[in-house]
Amino acid sequence: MGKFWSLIFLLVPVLGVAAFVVAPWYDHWLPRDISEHGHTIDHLFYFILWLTGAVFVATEVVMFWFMWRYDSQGKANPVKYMHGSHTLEIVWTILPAATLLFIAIYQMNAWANAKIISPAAGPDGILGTADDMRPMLEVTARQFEWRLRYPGLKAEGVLGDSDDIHVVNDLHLPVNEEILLDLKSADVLHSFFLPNVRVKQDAVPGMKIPVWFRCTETGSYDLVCAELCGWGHYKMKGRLTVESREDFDKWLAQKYRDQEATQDPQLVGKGDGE
Amino acid sequence: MTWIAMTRIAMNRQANIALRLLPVVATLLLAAGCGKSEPPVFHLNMIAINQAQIPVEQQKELANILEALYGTPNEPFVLADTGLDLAKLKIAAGPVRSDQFGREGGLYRRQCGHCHGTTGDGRGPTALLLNPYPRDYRQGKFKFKSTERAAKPTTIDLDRVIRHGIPGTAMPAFGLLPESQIAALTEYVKYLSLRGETELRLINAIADLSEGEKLAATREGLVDEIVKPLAETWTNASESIINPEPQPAGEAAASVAAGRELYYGAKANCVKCHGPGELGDGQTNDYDDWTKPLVEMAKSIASEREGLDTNTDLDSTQRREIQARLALSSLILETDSLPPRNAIPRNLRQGIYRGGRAPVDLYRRIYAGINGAPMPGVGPATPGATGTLTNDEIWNLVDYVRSLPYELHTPAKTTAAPVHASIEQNRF
Amino acid sequence: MRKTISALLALGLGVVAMALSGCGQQAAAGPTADKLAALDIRKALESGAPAAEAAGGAEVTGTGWASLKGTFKFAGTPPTPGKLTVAKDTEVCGHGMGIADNSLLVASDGGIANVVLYARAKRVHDDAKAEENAEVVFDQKDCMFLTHVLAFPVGAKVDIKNSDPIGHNTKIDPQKGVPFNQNLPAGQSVAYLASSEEALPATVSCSIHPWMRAYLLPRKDKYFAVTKPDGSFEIANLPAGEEVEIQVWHERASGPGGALVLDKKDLKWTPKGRFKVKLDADQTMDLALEVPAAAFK
Repeated sequence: MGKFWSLIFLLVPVLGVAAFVVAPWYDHWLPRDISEHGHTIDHLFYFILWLTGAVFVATEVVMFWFMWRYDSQGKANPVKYMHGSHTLEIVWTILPAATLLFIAIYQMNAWANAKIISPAAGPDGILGTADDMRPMLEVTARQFEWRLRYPGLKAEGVLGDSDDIHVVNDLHLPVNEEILLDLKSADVLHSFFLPNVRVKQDAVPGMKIPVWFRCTETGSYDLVCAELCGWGHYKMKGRLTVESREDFDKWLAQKYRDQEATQDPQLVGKGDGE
Repeated sequence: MTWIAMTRIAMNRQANIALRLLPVVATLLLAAGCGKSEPPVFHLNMIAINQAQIPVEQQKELANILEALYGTPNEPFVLADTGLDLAKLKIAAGPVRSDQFGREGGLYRRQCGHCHGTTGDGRGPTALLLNPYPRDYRQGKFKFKSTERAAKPTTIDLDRVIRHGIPGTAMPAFGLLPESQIAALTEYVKYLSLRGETELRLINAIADLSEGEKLAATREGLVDEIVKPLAETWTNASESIINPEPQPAGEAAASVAAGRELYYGAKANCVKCHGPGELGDGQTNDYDDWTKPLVEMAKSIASEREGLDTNTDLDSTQRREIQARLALSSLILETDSLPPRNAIPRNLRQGIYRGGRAPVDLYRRIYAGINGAPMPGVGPATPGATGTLTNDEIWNLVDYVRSLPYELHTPAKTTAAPVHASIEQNRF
Repeated sequence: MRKTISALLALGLGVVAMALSGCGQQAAAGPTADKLAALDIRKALESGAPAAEAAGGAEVTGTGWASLKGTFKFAGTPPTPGKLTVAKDTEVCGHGMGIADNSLLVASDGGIANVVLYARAKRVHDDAKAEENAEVVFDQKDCMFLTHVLAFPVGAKVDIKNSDPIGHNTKIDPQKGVPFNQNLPAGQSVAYLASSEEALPATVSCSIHPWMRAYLLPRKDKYFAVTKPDGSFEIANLPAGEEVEIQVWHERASGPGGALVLDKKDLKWTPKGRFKVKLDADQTMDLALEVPAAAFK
């Protein structure tokens, strides 16, 4: 009977590996990467996947072997107890520690580029100097929507005056340009997550957090909230539209006109939500 | 073995059996709750019914008439006279579902019902947690629209609210929904509003009946007198759209200064409610039209109870009758309404405009006021009349309001010290 | 033994929890519709079938016209009016001395002011028909509406005036008609046209000065009266020879919507605050009505 159960146990690593093998067929894999730095994150993901996967399969197979070989039925020999092996304990502490240290150092650049070395610092690399990049927009996460604020057309990139263009849930960005945005929260913790751009940043109330990335392909993608923020968290969805600079300028100009309308008898939201 | 020991062993065995059966029994009991639950129903406007003291038989008749005219949450119905599209209503109504082609149904229940309620009374399960409360459609009053104060919103106004949401409130922006779904939802909102107003008119008609009269459920009595006129207010809404005359050319700064004079002056009276610092703290103990009847109902129940205590003329049967009536009113007020909140004037410093931030939106708010709210209008009350402010003056106010969130320092225009004189920018 | 008790206890608690979770405040939710009755009504409406039975009985119409007059007197000692909370513009409003509550005004002789009477008449005398281009004045001064209850014929232009040095806004909320809310600067006036007849007077208020309260009652004909400070009223040219139903209303009455309910079987006074009279031609009926304190809230 025991051998049967150990075969059932073997199904765990077998099915586990099988699931990963067939996943891409079912589109259950990483979302399409349209960003410049996304590949470094994907690479780290794969590295850890292979490393842990190999260790997982190895340990499971070894476990199966022992369960099969030393099944209690039909064994008359008494059990031999050992008193522990100091060497073994040292080995299996040092090896994982070294692996972790390796991973920590291996990923440092990816993290630094995504979260620390800000393009806002401009070419001189120092924040607070005149060549700092201005944010392209400000994103305020709010239960349960994304409120976006672009600088107005008269303002020459300055946010925070009466000229700003307010949009909800409909994030448009130009392709192949370095994007810097400021992330704020209006109420509780949210998380600004662009799956296709490999960008995820918690929006913390009281903080204004810069987020930067560069998109390399046009199209329409998801913007979702990745931090449980209340009953509407699941529907806190926006849309990211990456388009050419021209199209982006046209769209922004249309939004500005809608917002400054003094004469339109009926303001229709066409063009911002379909 | 002794008799006691045997009993002990037997009881232990029973206990073991009981413990093993416990999970089975518990599962069966829980499962008894599973299965088909009752379909949701529209509930009557019990506050209005109680205020008009409609007897129970007539309440039943009212419920029957309303179901005849408008159907149920799962199976909506409208007469052709209403001008509503039944196909769209069927998509929006009913349980959340999607067919084999992926077409979704039950949109209202999916997106709107938990705040606005099945009957559209603004008392869904989530409503109590929100400030401000969700809209109660049943009075047919909507605040943010492009039409004259007393007119209904146009389809595009409703579409806009659903698409853009209402900033500063819990109403989300549903702009990512497909066009067809937004169209179905606007139709359903109109349907619920029409049903609610029909109900109120029917309650008035029942209250108007003399003793022994019954409500005539005829085409003339119901459709021609009540449903058709109400439906017409919806279909004619676009005739009342406020089209502002063009803004006069000139320096923006001059317009803002003129707007400022008007704000603090006795002509426009804005300062009286919106406060000397434009923080919305000038008048904070008024109520909106949805809440005022509840507050007055509570007050009148309290004063009647007081009167009952001091009154010595009544005999015990009269007293008991009155007490029973007051107890019922009190119960209905408690269970059929949300705790009342004051209508606070808008804080103009925050740059949050519920009805839209375009200049034309602000113009419309000032021109017609806000229906259902204490905010009065300054434009002509009826087409052809003269308002209390001219077109230019309204534009001056619009410019002033738009400049407020970005103003760095305001010297107060009153002799008394303003409440929040040291407020720096309160930009959001 | 202990095992049995704890097992039974657990079972019992489980049952109780299950039962309680089903309970809710299923309070006055109102009756639900009867599906079949609703479908019958719907069929009748769609086919346009005429009414199954005419409502009410045969109507006896008489000839000639008569008048109804009388007084409303408070029985016993009237309650002393309180003071309204005046928190704004106190220099103009109340001149620093506060404003007395005018919702229940009883004169020294017991006369109750501002009781509204109107008739639901089936025949209308020519003099009692609403005129074209009529004008009524509705003024406010010292932060109080000068006419506390104003009844007028539908179609009359109500000239809402502001005789104060400060601004007001006049907010009118009728039950059937359309809502109205206009800013009213000092010294100016704004016109109001009632869109329909009301059965219940519309409330008039000011958002800037929330203690201000008045009532407007538009009616299709002129069969209305508002009692004067001495409690007297008169309605002329009522149809004679037939039963006329008169509605009585006061803002502080405890009947539904403010209906004033008296215990007068000879007048067939109903719990909806209505009484019936049958007048002979050219008669002037005089009613001296005593109103107990219990009729008010």
